[in-house]
Amino acid sequence: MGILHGILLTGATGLLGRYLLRDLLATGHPVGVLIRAGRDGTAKDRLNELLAFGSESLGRELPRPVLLEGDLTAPGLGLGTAERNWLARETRAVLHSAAYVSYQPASDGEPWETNVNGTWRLLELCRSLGITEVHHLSTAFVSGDRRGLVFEDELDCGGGSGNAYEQSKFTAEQTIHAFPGIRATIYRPSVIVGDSRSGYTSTYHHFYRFLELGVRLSARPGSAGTKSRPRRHSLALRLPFTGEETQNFVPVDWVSQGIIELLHRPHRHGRTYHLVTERSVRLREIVAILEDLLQIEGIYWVGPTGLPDPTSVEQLVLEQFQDYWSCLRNALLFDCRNTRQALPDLPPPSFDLELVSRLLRFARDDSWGRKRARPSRAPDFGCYLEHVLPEQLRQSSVASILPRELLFALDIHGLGGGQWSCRWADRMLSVQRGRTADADVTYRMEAATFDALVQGRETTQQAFFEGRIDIDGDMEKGLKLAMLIEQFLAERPQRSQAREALHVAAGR
Amino acid sequence: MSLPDAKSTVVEWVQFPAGLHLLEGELAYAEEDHPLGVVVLAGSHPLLGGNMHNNVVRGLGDGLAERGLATLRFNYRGVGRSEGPSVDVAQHMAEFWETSHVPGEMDLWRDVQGAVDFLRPVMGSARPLVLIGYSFGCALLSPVCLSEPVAALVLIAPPLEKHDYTEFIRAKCPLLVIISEDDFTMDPARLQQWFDQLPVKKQLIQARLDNHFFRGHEPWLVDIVSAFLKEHLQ
Repeated sequence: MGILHGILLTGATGLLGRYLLRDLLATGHPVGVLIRAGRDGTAKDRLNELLAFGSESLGRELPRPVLLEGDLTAPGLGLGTAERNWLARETRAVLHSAAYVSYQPASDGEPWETNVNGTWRLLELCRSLGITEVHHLSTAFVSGDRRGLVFEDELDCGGGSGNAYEQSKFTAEQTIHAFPGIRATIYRPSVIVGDSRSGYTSTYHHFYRFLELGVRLSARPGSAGTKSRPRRHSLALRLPFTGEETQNFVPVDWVSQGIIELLHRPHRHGRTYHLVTERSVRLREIVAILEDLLQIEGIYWVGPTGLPDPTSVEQLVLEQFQDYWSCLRNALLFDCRNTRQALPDLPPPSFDLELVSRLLRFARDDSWGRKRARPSRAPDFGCYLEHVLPEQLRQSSVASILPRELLFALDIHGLGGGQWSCRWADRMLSVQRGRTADADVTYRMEAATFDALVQGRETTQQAFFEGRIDIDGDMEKGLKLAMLIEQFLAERPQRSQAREALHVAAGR
Repeated sequence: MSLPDAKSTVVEWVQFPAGLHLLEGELAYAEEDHPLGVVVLAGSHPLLGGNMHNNVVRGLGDGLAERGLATLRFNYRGVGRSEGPSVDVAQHMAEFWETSHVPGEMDLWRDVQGAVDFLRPVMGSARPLVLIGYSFGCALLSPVCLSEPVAALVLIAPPLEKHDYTEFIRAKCPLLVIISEDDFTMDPARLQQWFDQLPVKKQLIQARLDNHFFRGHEPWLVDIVSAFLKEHLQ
């Protein structure tokens, strides 16, 4: 067959997708790339950015792919006749990398809408165009919460029971296998991290959340600018694990290279490949790396029975872990015989101090994506502030503590940001767009900071004392109100509702 | 005495008794040398986010340790992992909102006393004792500095309008006061009047230092406080 005849790529704007596009183009084959317009630009703008990345990282110009402006959530992927004709003429295969990467289900039907229904629409398109070769990006975690060694050629062995993302990817695999006339090759990477050589990443989830947390916990403001020699900082942090739990991380460039290699070996198609490291890394080993790298110590394993009286720092850490709880607690081992046989000359890079140092260096230089990051869909602060927050506040214990009347304003910079005036009177909050001149207090911050606050990734005090929030107006009221806001945000139901209201699509 | 340049330091998590409660703290000191003095840091108000991780408290704790002093920062009772009734924002904020005070807050001076009682024998009772307060923590130092042989006192952003600072007139040790010119808690005339009547060797430093918060100015604070201690610790 083949891919020599050209390939349709979906999901090119995701982290893995941009590597797949780069590496596919570098092989010289015709590529059609499905991209939709996003908040960060038109489909053409987004493709230009991907090509600039690819050319820069390879150090040479890449041929331009055919841009197919469309959307997995639209009937027929939203493609016109010209695009369909081009696909029918030029392509014999699909590399389906698009996914909605969120562990929490959202009210708009995600992640199933993209990951399952979108896959179905793509398969329908393949059928109508006579494309039979489908290469599908799944995840090693379709195994759900089953235990022990997970084999590549098994799917329905207790899988499908993980988080929403894992469940949707499990169903997508079932959908593909059940679809008539399709020869499917399934790629199941474990947790993808940045480039093993440059440290590059375009997204900061999972491992990066923990890495950034480690950096923040190790930060000592007083040391900045002084002539200090490295020293270890004791965290006195208890973690509700044994330390023997395992994780499996693979660098994005290796995953992409592996997939491209397999694309070129047709006799290997029609199987499932675990793109994982043969030996998973224990939490204890990860923490040891972070301790060396960040010069920290004092992390204790207290076992999975829970933390009595967690400190505020421990509470913060637990909340950071919340989305990843199922992944952190497991001790899965992934069989990778298919991959090893097919790619004996391409072993995965070790997850070691050197790799983590590179990932950290890039993340720091990139400000953890905050300066550059333009999520494909902006968090909807307006929806949260105007519709969700008033009702939440009315039901909160904080409603009885707030003074009778208060007018405060939010000035949020960056994608999804804006200005809002919030009037509290008679135990009711009304929020309006625009900034009023007579606000008692105005809080100014970046969109990423606001997002982190309402989703509980940091506290108002932390953000303020680290200089990420500015307060204008009545400073004393501003500080007191910030404490009450923190109290309000700490009430757990608030956070899950806020997360849903703000939901950010990544990698679609 | 000389305060040398940056040293390699260690930071220990410690617990010590203060009254009925066991408090947590972070003890920082130079790895190789005997400390030139011992410093207790009293931070800002628990109801305004005051804890031992505050930028001023932590900045000075680590920075002065690098200059050869042993420093102890700690969490007041009920904060973090310090024992005692939790800081209940819901219970106290209504009153705090109106008055900026909560019942029993001045009793937290006993926590400072507990920190002093713990630190001195651990690091050597003969070493000069320095008390440093930041914001609300300043007001807690007067009972301690009147009963202990304090070698130097540093008050950073003392909110004179909110608490009683008259007792500092009885202090016997050299005193450094650092204030940001744009501090929202400060009345310049009142500050000067209070400062003028203090009968000890004293120094008042005012500059624009991010209102009451000193964010980004922590290394500068370390330099200023080090220079003052260099002059006065004998």
